[in-house]
Amino acid sequence: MLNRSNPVCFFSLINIKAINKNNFLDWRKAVRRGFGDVRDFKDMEILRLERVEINRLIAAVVDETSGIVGTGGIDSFNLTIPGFKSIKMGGIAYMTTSLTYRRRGIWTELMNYLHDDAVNHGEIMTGLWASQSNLYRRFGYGIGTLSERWNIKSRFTSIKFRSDPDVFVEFVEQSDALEIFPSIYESFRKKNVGMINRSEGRWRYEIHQVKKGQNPVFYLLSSRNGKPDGYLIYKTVRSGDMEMGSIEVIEELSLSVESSLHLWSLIVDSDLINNIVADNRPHQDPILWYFTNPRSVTRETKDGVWYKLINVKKCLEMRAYSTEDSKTIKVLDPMNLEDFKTFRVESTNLGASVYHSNSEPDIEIYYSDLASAFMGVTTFSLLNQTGRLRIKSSSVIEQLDMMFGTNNAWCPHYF
Amino acid sequence: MVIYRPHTDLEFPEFVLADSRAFGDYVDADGSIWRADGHCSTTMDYLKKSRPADNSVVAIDDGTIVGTSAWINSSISSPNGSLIECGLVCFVSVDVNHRRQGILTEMMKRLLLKLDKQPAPLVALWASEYNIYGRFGFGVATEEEQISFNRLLVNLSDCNYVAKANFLDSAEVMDVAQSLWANNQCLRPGLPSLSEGMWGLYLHKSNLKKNKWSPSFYIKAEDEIGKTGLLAYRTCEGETNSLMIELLMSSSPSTEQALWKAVLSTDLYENITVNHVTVDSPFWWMVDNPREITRQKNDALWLRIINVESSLSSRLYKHDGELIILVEDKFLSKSGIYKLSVSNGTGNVSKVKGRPDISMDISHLSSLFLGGFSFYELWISKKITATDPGKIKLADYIFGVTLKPWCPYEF
Repeated sequence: MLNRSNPVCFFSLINIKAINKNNFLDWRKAVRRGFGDVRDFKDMEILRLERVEINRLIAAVVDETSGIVGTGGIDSFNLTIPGFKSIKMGGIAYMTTSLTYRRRGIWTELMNYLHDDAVNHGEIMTGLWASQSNLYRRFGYGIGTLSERWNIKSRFTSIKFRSDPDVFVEFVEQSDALEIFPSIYESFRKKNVGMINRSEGRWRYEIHQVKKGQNPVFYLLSSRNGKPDGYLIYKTVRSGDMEMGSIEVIEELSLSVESSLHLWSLIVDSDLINNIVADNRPHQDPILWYFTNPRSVTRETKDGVWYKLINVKKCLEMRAYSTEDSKTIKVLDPMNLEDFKTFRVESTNLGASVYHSNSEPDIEIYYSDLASAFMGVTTFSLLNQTGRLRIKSSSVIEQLDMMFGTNNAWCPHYF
Repeated sequence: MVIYRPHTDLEFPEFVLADSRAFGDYVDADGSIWRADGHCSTTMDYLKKSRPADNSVVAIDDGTIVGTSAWINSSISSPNGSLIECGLVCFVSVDVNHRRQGILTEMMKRLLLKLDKQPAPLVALWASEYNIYGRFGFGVATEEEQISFNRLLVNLSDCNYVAKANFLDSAEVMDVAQSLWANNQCLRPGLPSLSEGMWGLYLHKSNLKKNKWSPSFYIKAEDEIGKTGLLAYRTCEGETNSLMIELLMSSSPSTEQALWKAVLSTDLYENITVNHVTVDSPFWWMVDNPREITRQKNDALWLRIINVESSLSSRLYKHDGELIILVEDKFLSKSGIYKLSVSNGTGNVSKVKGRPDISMDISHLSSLFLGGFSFYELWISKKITATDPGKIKLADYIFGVTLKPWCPYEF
């Protein structure tokens, strides 16, 4: 149950309420209606059994009719942050407001409720995939991972590499994929910033989602020295035996470049295929250095997961820094500039200590921008060019860039 | 038998004709060069003024030019603002009836060896195709983006800088562009020094109609402390009401913002395309709705280090440290192990014997040189090797750049 005994009442007729098994189906229908589609019962059951934590789902309910006019919820995750520590993160999802109840503040109340819920669950960050990119900055969310959409004209390029005799790639059945792939994913997660964990149930849910539709799904496993080392899940689309088709790469993760190369080369060199689409690839994918003709790979940069630092002090303490330095950071809420907090961050080779400060800040920054810099997806130099930062001196920017410098964050898990 | 030599002054028209034909362009009797889409791209006169005649290697078979290559003596901005001598390679082509006979390889070898005898330790080019120049030791040194968006769906958010923007007459553009360019060379690596002739060619092209696109309009931004910015754009009215930006360059956040504000105020035009955008452009971070901006990344300037010692000792470094680097240069038979010692940001380079910390091909050192890529990226991609990961971290620390290299001028 939500740890909140007295739901917020922002209109006399609408309350935010926790979801239970009795109203779960109504809630789910409302969520999908918000996104403009309808799901069948089986779909909703799989969601209930394998994905959601029912006590973390909420709805805005009209008192008179008990109708649901707003929805939201949190999935619990562990997120790998710079320095490779794993922290508790609330994954906000299912956010909708009924078409007929928009512009009344329901959305804001739902978000506030979920943020309180995250605090109560000990989560120091929340994250979300934004359906639109102009919705969440005002709540303190900043772009935290980047992704690239690839469209590969596979008949005009290949992957050039020296085949590794220790690598063996094979097709596996769905049941084997569900048994083997999660351990590869988990090993990858621990060493890569921006990755979140995926439970067993969530794996089953994701595979169920992938299998929807008529196009077949294939599972490739790469083993290196006999150990599972990488996988690639893909779908093919072909309209007939005489037609060239296309491949949609659902997910590829490998613990070594060698496995990644072997997996991708099989896909890129596929007969009967014209083009390959991969929707969420990392920003600096090693594979890009191996295409014989990278201009056949159209790469579009997109926003990935958006993050909010719920507990700024704790987040800044948990993160690793590239240099030993100390800086005073004033964090501003764009909705209420009076409501700021100032932190002193001191990083040493033993770790970071962070405390509230009354000193003159080295930098003033919005929550949303700090979240982006925290994940290393942008630099303070770049943010300074937007005109949103206030800095004590120009040298501060360079020092902060050095301090917060990290490799690009990436999250292949859509939630 | 094919012979290789510079073209003579008298052979310049034939040189241009051979190059244009290889690229599918048409040269008319007046010396105007027409692209396949029907727009006049430039004239022979402007091309001639943009570079000296003897900086060329042409392949001649039976008295006819069948291969062309040339370079412009110039310099390029390197990290931390220093300029390094650099040959800008252009007019590279081989006649369609003489391809797959090793003519390009021979021309490139002769051209690189000629430049090796000159002060230029670097060579740069724009590659017409991606898979040509890696084998000659070139590496992608700068990337760029083409961005596009519907103006009605994008707004600047919370930008507090102030600068004014005004239209410029085309006659006023040269002075503004030259000084802005020089200013940017101090801030950002990858910008070649452009001669009067090259600027003349650029503005000449810019002032011509380009197929369905208008001649360029120019806007200058200026802030309170005299920093400037320049926007060059073309318009296309019709079904799409489009606007194409060919240059947006600034020297301060306030002028950058003023120019984007101008772009977003072009009321009659909805579909905006911006070419040659630096990969670290702040625009995506400035707007309220970044998803509406389509960002497509491409390779841009390619670089080739000819002389490792001279190149590495010419650029400045962000941090001090010492590295031993093995560089393989099979194409010019110049492989070697070099010790780079950086003190107070200045590099001292010498050839040494012994175990290298990091090993790589010359094309990869060329990619790393301006800071467009990190050692880490190439290391995790297994394109370079290191004795231990700490050396990669140290290399990125030493070679680090504040702004990514960028070159919005195609030569």
